[in-house]
Amino acid sequence: MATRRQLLGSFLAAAGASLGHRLARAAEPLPTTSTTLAPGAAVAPPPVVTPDGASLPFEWKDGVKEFHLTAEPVWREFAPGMRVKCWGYNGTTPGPTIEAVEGDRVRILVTNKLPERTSIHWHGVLLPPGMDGVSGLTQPAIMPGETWAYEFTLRQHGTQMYHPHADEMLQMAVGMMGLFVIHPREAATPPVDRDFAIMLHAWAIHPGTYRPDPAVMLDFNMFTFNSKVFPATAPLVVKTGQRVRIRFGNLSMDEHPMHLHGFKFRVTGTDGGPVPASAQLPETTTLVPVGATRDIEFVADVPGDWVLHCHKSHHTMNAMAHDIENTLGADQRGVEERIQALLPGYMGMGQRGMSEMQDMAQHMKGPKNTLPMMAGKGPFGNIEMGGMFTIVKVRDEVSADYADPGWYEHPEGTRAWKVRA
Amino acid sequence: MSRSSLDHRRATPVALRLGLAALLAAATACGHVRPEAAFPGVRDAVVARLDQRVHWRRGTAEDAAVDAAVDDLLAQPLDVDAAVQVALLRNPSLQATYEDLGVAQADLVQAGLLRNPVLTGAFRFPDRSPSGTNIEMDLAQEFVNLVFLPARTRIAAAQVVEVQHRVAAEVLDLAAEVRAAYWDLVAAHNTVAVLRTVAEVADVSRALTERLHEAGNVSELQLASETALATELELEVARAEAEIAPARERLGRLLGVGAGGGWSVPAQLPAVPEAEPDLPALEEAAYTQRPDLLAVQQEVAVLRDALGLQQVTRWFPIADVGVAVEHEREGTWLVGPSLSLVLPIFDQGNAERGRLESQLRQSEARLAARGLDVRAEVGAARARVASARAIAGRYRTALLPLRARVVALSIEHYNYMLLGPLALLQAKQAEVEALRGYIEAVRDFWLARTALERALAARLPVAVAAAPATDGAPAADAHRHHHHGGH
Ligand SMILES: [Cu+2]
Repeated sequence: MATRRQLLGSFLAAAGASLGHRLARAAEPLPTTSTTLAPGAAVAPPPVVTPDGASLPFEWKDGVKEFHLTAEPVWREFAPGMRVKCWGYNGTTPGPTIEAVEGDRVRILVTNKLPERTSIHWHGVLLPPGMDGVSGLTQPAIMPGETWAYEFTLRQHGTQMYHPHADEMLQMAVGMMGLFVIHPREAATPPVDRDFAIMLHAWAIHPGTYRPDPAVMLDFNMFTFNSKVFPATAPLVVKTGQRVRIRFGNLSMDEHPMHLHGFKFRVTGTDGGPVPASAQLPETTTLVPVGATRDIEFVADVPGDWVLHCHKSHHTMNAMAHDIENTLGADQRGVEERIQALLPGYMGMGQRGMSEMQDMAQHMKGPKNTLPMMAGKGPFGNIEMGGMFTIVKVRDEVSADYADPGWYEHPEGTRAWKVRA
Repeated sequence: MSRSSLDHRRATPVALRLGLAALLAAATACGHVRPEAAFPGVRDAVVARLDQRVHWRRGTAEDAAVDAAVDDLLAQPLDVDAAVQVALLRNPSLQATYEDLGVAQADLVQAGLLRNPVLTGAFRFPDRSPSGTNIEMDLAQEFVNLVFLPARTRIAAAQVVEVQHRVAAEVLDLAAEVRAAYWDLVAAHNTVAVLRTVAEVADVSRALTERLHEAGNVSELQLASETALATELELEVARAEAEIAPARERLGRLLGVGAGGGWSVPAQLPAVPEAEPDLPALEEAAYTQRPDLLAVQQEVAVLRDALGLQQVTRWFPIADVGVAVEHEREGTWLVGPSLSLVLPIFDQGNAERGRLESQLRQSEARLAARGLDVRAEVGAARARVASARAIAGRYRTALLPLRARVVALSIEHYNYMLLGPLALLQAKQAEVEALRGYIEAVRDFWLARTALERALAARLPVAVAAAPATDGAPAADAHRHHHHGGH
């Protein structure tokens, strides 16, 4: 896997070469853009940061950007204490983020190391029908052991995705998906300083098991950002005043209302492309529908630890059961002792709420390979979250590699205080 | 029949010779009967097979010592051997059976006694001179009785042995009945203890559902369902408890002490032993050990002997011999032997012979049948022991640990709120229900083993196994439930 620094280097090289390539093929009509960049005038966009992931390296071959994806079974640690036997690409799920520039000719080699056939559909990418990757309809399926090539010229920019279109339900349920970011040929105005890409997904991984259950349609129990759950999700580190873009892709079977604390943002793009400025509603929550992408942009003008999460509250929990007794408000005194006589170690739970759950989980054993429903320790105690939850850490000073700066220290007199006990 | 005909021919000269030789000895026999003389044979047979004491209460000083020993046994919770021992010493039916020995012993003495001689006399008074009284006296002894006395004694002695075998068989039957009644009673206590735990789990579920209902979290329907289930299990406990009193009555009756009194049995069945003695060897032994089989063999021998004797006596022409004395009127005494003959004209002994021959054939057929019985009883009991052992073993090594594992894993799921408390209690319920099945399997094992011991006329030694707690309480708290049952 390439480091972020290597990727940045290769991207800059690619951007320059891409321009030369475009000029060499000037006869080919360009995709619709209002203006074109003059040679050498390109303002390199910042590389996309895929938290807990990476972008896919490429090679120039005969003026074509050549990528190579290998579909294969992969282990993914959702958080320490839970490893999942998934399928993905190049050793990871979601697959690496493909980055290219509008106008690029791309060739993507796809090798199938799965036990069954597959194909790749380039979700939202405008391309010839023979490159659309629908097995049976536009091509025969890619059989195990085979390598196929997809090649097309990018005629748009925005946040697109890729996923199988063969045994699609199963293959997506076990993690086969990735983001496909097409940078604009011309610099975005105003340009962003930080560009994050997050694939949202919902999984059914029954407590005590290792493999996602592809037969589940509604009762998903694990909800991930790039196949990680809080508290293992990487924070998004930003310097105060930077313009931030976060790209969300959703190939799960549920919609996710993504909510950001501390800022108002505008939805600047969908999988259909840029949203005209006049249509960019100011929001703090945007719904990312099934099979769609959303780009949001905001200026991180207030330092602090700001939460980014799905607002379906059970999507910010780890494994939960849906059919257990509601013990809220039920007085178990007397009964609890009788149960303890039969089941030593039993503790009545949930009478005053579920908060005690996080503390209990720290000293009581749960099923194998299963995360407690809520987790995360902050500077002031339990965060009591899981799933689709991370922290945007805005700081006046950040390191060159945007390393996690730790917890925010609130200036005197700016934090809530206890009035009486 | 051919062999018994040979025996008859051989028996004749022997009977004669022995009869004459024994004449003097028989004439001086005192005829005193010692009923207990046959008891040591029974005692030795029981000790050899059960390694248990027997005692025939005959109003001796030993009775008090035996009573004290029984009281000592009754003071502790009885294990199965102690229960058998109490019954062998106290059961009054057994005491009644022992009297058969006295009857047989009396018959033996009787057979050894000469029939009392018959003195007949006639006094004749003439009506004219010479006027001396004519006296005629005849002292006659039944000669056949005299000659065949040793043979009759031998037959009677053989009958005593037969009775000893029959009495030993009754002792062993009683021991087996005691064992079976013992297992039933212990199993009844054990089952009640487990069912109480089952009912407690159901009642805790009901109590918890009641709290959830009070909190407004579950419907009246769910509460009524849980309450109905708890009530059903409470009734099941009552039904199981009702089994204890009759089982205690039955064992108490066999012990000869009654259901009352302070005796007790343990609350839990012993575990199935790890290893079993070599059964094929025991099966061979069964043919020489079964007292009922030996009794029938003895019966055949006695009948053959009796038939042989009858073959001789039926043609024996001399009925009585004696001394005849006559006092003639002239004053002379005439003394001489007398002889009276029975002429076998009408009764040639054929009816008697036919009866004996039928009885002999009947007895031989019974012997063959009993041999088959023994083989079948041993085979069936051995098969039941093997299957009951396998089932109990599967419970102990597979199902019980699995049910415990399900409970442990359920607690882990419960800890992470992935399983509700009622589902957790259901897992516990299934664990205790498995224990109930296990107790049934262990009881079946001990009953089968008792049947095998009965079939083999032997007591099988026990290699003690480590027993899992079988009252449904969690291992850590097992001691708290030991007071269940067993008083
Ligand atoms: Cu969501």
